[in-house]
Amino acid sequence: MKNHLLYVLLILSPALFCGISAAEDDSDDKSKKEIIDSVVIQNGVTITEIEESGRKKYELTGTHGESLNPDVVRLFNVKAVISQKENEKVYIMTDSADFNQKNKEVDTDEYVEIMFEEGVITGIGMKCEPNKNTYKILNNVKITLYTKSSDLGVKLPR
Amino acid sequence: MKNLLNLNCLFLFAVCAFLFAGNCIAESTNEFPVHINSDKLEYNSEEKVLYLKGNVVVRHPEGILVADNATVYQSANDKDGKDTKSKIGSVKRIVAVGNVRMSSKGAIAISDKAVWDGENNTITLTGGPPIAKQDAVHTQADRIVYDVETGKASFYPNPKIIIGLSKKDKARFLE
Repeated sequence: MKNHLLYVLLILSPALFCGISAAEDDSDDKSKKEIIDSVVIQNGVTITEIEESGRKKYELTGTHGESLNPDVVRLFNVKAVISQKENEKVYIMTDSADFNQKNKEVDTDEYVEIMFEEGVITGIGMKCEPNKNTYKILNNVKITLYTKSSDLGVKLPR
Repeated sequence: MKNLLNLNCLFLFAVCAFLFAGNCIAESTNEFPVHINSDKLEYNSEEKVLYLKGNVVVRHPEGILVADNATVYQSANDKDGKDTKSKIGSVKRIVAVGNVRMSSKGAIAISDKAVWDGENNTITLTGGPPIAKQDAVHTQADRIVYDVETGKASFYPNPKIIIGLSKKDKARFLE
């Protein structure tokens, strides 16, 4: 049985070698960015933008992530905290979201929850620009508005 | 038998405790939150404005407002961090546009535009022209102002009592 495996590996190794050398030839024409088409990041991902004053504009955290292309990172089990004026904060939770580092946008097609001082917004699909404090929910929007933050009947993530 | 009675007492006690706990939760949260549904939303969290697009439904214990589109302006906090005098949750103003239908305390009204003013707790209906139905009476005016608290409506200018509605308007009242 061991011999069989050895033979298979011996037969495959030139083919594998050819494949690698062919990829190396192509790399002359392509940039490094194109060769690395996906990078998986495990054990926690955090993307933060900090102002010159030291204040965090926003922080996106995920349990793991992968780069879809040089500009876009997909995060999974996402929790985001976006700072507002006067120390108010907006919290976003979703199963996965794409962060585009070029235009600083966060997109998702998944169910999303946005929690803020006065209430909760839920829906399916979101486009968010954390720098501009704008959020677009694309489908099935449900909003509950409360009077005060202390009256908010949900526990905000920390 | 005694055991059964004891079990019943325990069960009753558990139910009471649960209900009491429920009341406590209700007290700690807002009694009358505003629930809004729509197809799409654009929200600016700093300006505190919600732009709702498609099949908008605003639900509040005082009434229901249905429209094609709506803009919700949330109340801004004053210097002490207290809410302004809005009487419908944190909502300061709702402007609903297109096929507006509102119902409150047995009255139904239709119009092209409705403005819900949170501070005065009034709804101003314009465009269409607006028509209100109370029992079997349909009243029309260029502007209808409805006081949500008192349940009174003022029809001004050009108030008319309508006998016989168009099919389209009838359908809107029946929705």
